[in-house]
Amino acid sequence: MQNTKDMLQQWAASAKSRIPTGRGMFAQHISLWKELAANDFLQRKTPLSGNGLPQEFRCDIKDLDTHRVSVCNGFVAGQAGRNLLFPDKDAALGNAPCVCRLQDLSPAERERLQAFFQAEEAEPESGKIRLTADFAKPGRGADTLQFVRLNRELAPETLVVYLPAGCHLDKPLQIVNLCLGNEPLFLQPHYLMLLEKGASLSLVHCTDSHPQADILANALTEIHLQAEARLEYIQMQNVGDRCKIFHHIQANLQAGAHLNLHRMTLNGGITQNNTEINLLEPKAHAEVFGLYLQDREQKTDNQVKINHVAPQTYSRELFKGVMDDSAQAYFKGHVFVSPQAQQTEAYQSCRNLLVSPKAQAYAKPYLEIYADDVQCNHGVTVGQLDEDALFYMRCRGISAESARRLLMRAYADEILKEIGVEELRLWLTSLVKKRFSGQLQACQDCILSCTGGEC
Amino acid sequence: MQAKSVKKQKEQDEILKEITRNDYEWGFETAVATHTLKKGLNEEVVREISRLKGEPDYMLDFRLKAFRQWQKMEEPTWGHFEHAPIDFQDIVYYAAPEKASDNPLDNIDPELLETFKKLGIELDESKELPKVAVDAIMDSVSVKTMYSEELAKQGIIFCSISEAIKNHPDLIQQYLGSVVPAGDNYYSALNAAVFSDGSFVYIPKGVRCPMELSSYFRINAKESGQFERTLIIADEGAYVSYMEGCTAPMRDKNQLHAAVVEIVVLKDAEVKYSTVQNWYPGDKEGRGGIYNFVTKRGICKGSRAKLSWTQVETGSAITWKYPSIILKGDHSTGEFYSVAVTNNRQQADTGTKMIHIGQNTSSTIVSKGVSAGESQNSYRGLVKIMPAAEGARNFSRCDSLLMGNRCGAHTWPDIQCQNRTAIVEHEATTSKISEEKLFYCRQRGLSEEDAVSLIVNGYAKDVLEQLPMEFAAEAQKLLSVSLEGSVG
Repeated sequence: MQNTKDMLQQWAASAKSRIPTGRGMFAQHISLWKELAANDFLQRKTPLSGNGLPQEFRCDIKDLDTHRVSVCNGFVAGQAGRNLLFPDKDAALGNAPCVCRLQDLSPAERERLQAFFQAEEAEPESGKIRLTADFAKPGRGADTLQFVRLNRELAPETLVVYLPAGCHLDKPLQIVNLCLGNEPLFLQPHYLMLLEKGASLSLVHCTDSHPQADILANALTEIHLQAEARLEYIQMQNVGDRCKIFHHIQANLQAGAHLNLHRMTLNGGITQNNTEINLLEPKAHAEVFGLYLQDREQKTDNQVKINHVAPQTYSRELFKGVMDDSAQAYFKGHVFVSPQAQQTEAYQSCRNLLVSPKAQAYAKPYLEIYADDVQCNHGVTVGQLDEDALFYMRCRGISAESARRLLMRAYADEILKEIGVEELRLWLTSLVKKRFSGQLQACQDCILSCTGGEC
Repeated sequence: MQAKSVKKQKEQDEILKEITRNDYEWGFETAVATHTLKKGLNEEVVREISRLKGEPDYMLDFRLKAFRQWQKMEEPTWGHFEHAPIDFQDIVYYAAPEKASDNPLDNIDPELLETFKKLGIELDESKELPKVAVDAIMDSVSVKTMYSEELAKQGIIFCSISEAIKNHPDLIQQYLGSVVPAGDNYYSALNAAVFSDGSFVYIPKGVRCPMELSSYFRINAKESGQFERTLIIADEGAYVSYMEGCTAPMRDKNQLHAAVVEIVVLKDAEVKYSTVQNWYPGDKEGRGGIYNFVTKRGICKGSRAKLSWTQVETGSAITWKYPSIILKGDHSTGEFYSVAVTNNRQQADTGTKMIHIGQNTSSTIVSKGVSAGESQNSYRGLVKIMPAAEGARNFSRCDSLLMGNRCGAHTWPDIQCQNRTAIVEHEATTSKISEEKLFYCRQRGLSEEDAVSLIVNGYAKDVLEQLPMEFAAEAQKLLSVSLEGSVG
């Protein structure tokens, strides 16, 4: 274990790193930098090795048949040097799909892989005077850039997912990411995913924690999809109320590549889902869905930046949330269309349901467009359940409470139905149903195989 | 196919070039003797302005306090536009046409009368056909306020703000700076320190103002900035419709216009504020033009109060303006209708803020942006529902139209909802003029230019409809002039 203070001091000393202030118009209510500056951050520890951590976790999603890989506190479980998909094989970026630690690859392969993710990082704009030409560049916020740098430099291990050209896995890949610890921790899990030309993959990525765990995580997933590659990425978060998870997913799409990203926030003290998608070549296609069900004092922040850099690209965002008790939801969507990206289609939508007097919703749906032949629209609504629909059901003898639940389930279903992994969809649907009817107990569906009583 | 599209591109370029040739017909200069202060801003200048206006001590205190606040503030940089740094010491803060201080018409320099005549404003009451009372403001002073006496019979006060400061200190002290505090932002602080004139309107209880009130702003003097301040108070049950127009001569150098408009709407009252903003936008290379940095805000103080902003923005090199409404009274209503057209190198960052505090308050936002040439056009808006605003309702719609691929159209909305009974809806679209619509019009014998003008006018109709009659015609004309023939 290392003190977070020492770690940050070392990091800040390196010339490249500059902790942004994030003030003014773009100030954020939920920000990792706020957490890093908080007093309790200094109490946190960062694990330096994965020794002694459990190696395998069961998954209680019924009938879900997957290739499973476990990551615990940012450390990849499994035998060193091996391809975790086929434990009898060595880790290598060859003709077979491979899931392994970055460290286990040969230096040449490592370099080859990392080349995909090390595009020139433009310094974020600063200072007073900007030129119009600068506006029309798909920049990224200073915040996001530092997120990425912090993780890249300090992540203890990196999980690599590699699919060679034309490869399809027989069943979905599941990454179980577990946060464990009796003391406050600061974790930085890191994932690199490369799908070569025409490969396709369904990926289920679950993040779970002990209900009492006190974790601050800065997770980073970097994705590169080559031409015609397809990825369905379902990211689920179900962590304790004291966990603060910041997860940045960054994807580059080449010609005709297809990304379906689902960000399901089921539970968590503070959750920030940061998404940045670069549609680099024509006909790249990205869809981002999000569902957040928040209650008590939970806070969630979904930030999506989509950069349309090439013509004929498509993006769609649909985020829906239900806020109960004193929960707060933030949404910031930013569609950027560069002057070259003619015939872009971009749709952005965020819908919020507030079901308690103290719940709050904030939305910033941005469109920034420099090309004329585009179809872009966005919509935001904040409101309650449809009174007419409720009345209709009550007329037919359905109690007010059941009618409410029914409508809420229908509302969430719009997101859930887009999930391509059948078993997972059914499980999530029933989970959402239980959640809305208040049946869900803290221990139920907890991923830990403890015998109860402890949590 | 390739050849065809190249040809089409050429045609479009041709047409786009044509629009940029459109002249700014209000760009003339009036040769009139002007009394100006020296360039630069310091405490002495603020005192001098106050002295020249013969203001009571409380105003000087107000100005000095604002000036000290301004000195501590920094220019906002979050707007989506660029400009070279403004040298605030290189601006003339007070310029007054001589002779203008005396009120009777005979004493007004005939040059000035001619100027306003050229702008389509007849200051001679005997000649005026449709009754619109105008407060004509040239540079730093109000030249003439019409129909003051007639309006006074009903208890309506319509005069320049300098007169109000002298004659109605109670109202000024109660309301000046109550909606836009001096320290609200950088430019409002600057305005509070150096404002030289503006209009003042007070409509007493239960009075419906019998005519449209209007102020016309004209920048004439070289290297001067215009800092006017308007205050409108509608007492319980009153109604007034107010219009604002503006132009400036063509100059190579940018000029600063930093105005403040404050509106107080009491119980059951209604105020309708319409602007046709046509400051000099600079030439097609982006030289010159007005920096229009304006703070406009109204408060619906009592129950059932209603405030409506309508704006047609075609001018200015940079527009930075967010007419906002604080909906404090229960059942109060706020409306914002806007058409913003940018062409050449113009940059507009405009929108509104709706702050819902009272119960059952409602607001509507309709914003239509059109960008052509190499311009940047942004909508930036805030809808905030406070925890106490039970049953609040907002509907926002902002559309952008792009013409040509060198311009930008952006939408930066911010929605903050802290009450579950509120219903907030926001919609926005961005697109170009559809080929089908153009084709349909062309088939029926309209030239391409007429077709575009027709479509744009139709697109902006929701907003133009809100304008008073006299303005609607002018606005429509302006739109066609700005966009004639541009096909995206």
